[in-house]
Amino acid sequence: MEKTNTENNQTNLIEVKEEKSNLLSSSLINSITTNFGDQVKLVYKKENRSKIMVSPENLVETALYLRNNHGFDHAESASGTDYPADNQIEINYHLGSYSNTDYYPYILVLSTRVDRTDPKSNSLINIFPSVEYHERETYEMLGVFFLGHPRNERFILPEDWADMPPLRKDFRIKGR
Amino acid sequence: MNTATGFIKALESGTKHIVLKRFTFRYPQEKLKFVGDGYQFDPKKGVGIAGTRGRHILFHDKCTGCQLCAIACEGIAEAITMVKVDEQWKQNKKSIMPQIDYGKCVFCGLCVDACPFYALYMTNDYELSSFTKSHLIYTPAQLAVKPKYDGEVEIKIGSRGAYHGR
Amino acid sequence: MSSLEEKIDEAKKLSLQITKETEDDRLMTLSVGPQHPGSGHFRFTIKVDGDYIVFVDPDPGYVHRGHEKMCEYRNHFQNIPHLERPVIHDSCNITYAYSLAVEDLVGITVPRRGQFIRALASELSRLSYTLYWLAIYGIFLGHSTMFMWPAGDRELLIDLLERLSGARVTNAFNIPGGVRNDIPYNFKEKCLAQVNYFETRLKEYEDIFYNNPLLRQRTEGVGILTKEDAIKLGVTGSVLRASGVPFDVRKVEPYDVYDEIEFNVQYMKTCDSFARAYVPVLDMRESCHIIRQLLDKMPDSGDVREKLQFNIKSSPGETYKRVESGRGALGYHVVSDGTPRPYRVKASVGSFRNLLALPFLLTGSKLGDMPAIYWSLNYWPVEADR
Ligand code: SF4
Ligand code: SF4
Repeated sequence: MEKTNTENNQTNLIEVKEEKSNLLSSSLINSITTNFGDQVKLVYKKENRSKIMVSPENLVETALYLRNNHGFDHAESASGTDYPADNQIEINYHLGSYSNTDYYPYILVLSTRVDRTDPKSNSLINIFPSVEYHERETYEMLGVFFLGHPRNERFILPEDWADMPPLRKDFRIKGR
Repeated sequence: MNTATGFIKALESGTKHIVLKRFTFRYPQEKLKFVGDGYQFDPKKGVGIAGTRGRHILFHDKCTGCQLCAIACEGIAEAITMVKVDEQWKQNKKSIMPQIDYGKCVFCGLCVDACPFYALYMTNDYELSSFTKSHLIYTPAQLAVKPKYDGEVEIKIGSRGAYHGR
Repeated sequence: MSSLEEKIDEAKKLSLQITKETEDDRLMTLSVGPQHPGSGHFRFTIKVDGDYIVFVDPDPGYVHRGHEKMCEYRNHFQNIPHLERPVIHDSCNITYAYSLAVEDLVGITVPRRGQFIRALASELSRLSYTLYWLAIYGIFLGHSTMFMWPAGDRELLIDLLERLSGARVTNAFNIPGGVRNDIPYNFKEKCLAQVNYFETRLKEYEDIFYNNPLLRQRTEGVGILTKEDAIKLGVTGSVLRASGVPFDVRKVEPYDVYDEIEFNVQYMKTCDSFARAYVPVLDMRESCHIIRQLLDKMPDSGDVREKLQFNIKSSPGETYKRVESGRGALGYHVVSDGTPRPYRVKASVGSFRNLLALPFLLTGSKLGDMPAIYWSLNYWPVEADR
């Protein structure tokens, strides 16, 4: 059994931290943009968080690049947001890293937008095995079909669920 | 550590408890002592005053029938309904006051936070069981009663372990 | 006459089929849960070949309540009481992450004393959750003393939480903007005394449970989750730390006042069930340590809450905030469109992420090791279903 000893120089702890993470953000975004050009759109860049938007065709490619070159090795969650006004569903992967200590506090949101009437997206299960149940949940909650996922089927909802996927915006709770 | 000493140590730490004080207490005869008179809220400062969140107490002379408590509860448990009372108060023109269904209430106390007129507080009384569901609906008149609660045991740490004492 | 022969032929074929199927039907399908007294509201189907588990299919959802959908119909304050329902034992942590997210969207900072108090409340509720989990782990391995002791000692912490917030488990104490109320009089002394006493009890747990040769034989070397596999499966919390990754959100991404608190991230490298059961106890020790520091460093007076309007409108945008709960990193992804209600809330909870390790670990292990592995995953079915 070992204990970690993270020695922080107590002076200017906050400033140092902030500079470092912003550097991290910038270097990460720079590396992505040099590699993919304008295929990848930056949505926001904050301390320890940033979000990039890719088109569905480039999703797998970008994820592979992030895993191999930056050490993002797991997804904290995969979820979807329904935007009926744009007729689109946004799929978000919150990627984190356990193998690269620099990226410990960092969450990169990799997102893509698919058509709402026939939502299909490539599954990232071969790149991040940790998305298996999250994608399955997104399938039943938002009706997004993940190509290449072995089990696009019911997971949490009741077995006899016959209504539309419940996290779509046009599914209303009774009486509200 | 080999197996035998492991067993002996485990047995020893268990048998030690024969001489320690009992931690439990006899509930209906003895009751826990709580902090203060129940959860209250000071709308001027915007913070609450610590206390147990038992059933509510309603001060009829302060309630204005503004329904803010009912609006707060609407998204939580829908436990509050505003009912007519046959009382005349000058601050309460419509003569409506909250009635709380304790079959639904989750004792979150957010209605107390919402009341701007110091009219709705919570008390130490948590023993609300009844034989029928309809008895759980407390009318404004029932809510006005100040409950009697006389708990007096609390956790004490002594040389022979922790125990409940006066 | 032909019809009769045909029928006989058919019957022969059919019976042949059936016998053929039953012949190589070595596998037996068992259903664990949802009525099983220890599995929680959760079921998994396992196939056993003799004594060995060859196939596991988890089937959560028995307590799914559409939590994320419910959030879209309520404002940020009304969301607090129902958000803490999935893990009422750990209610201060689960509302903590949501409060942080809403504060980020609204753009306020909580007064310093409020930050200390809510960190204190979340440590207390983490302790009480871990004790509850430990009690169930104990009874599942057939050690009923280990059920009684944590369940009794949990009362020490529940009592503190009750003094602080007014409710035993469903605290609704952390809200966007700070905490509901200030600490009551002579709370500090009581808290110190009870937490110090509780720490001495942890030593007794070790004597009776963790150093007990029976427990060691049942858990050591069982359910090995190597570091690589843990990273690949994206597990979190004590499961991850037991596999040798020193990841704790309080340390790697300190929220509120945790960057002023000194503590160590406890982890082990043995990767087995014993490590997963032992890391929470090490964590509890650190928590006691943290509570003492919080009480010590807390400013003596000051505001505890930034008063927000009941119907506060957050600016459009999205955020992802996480805290370390009793079951690992707990993140809230909140999307707002400028109305008082969130547009979309997604909770990334530790239990749901650790569930992926269940089929991985159980496949190939013995049926008798199932309880030792299952509860060591720190899995809380209600939280996973949301
Ligand atoms: S305590 Fe909560 S649930 Fe009960 S009446 Fe008040 S707001 Fe409603
Ligand atoms: S109790 Fe308070 S909030 Fe409710 S109607 Fe009366 S004055 Fe208004």
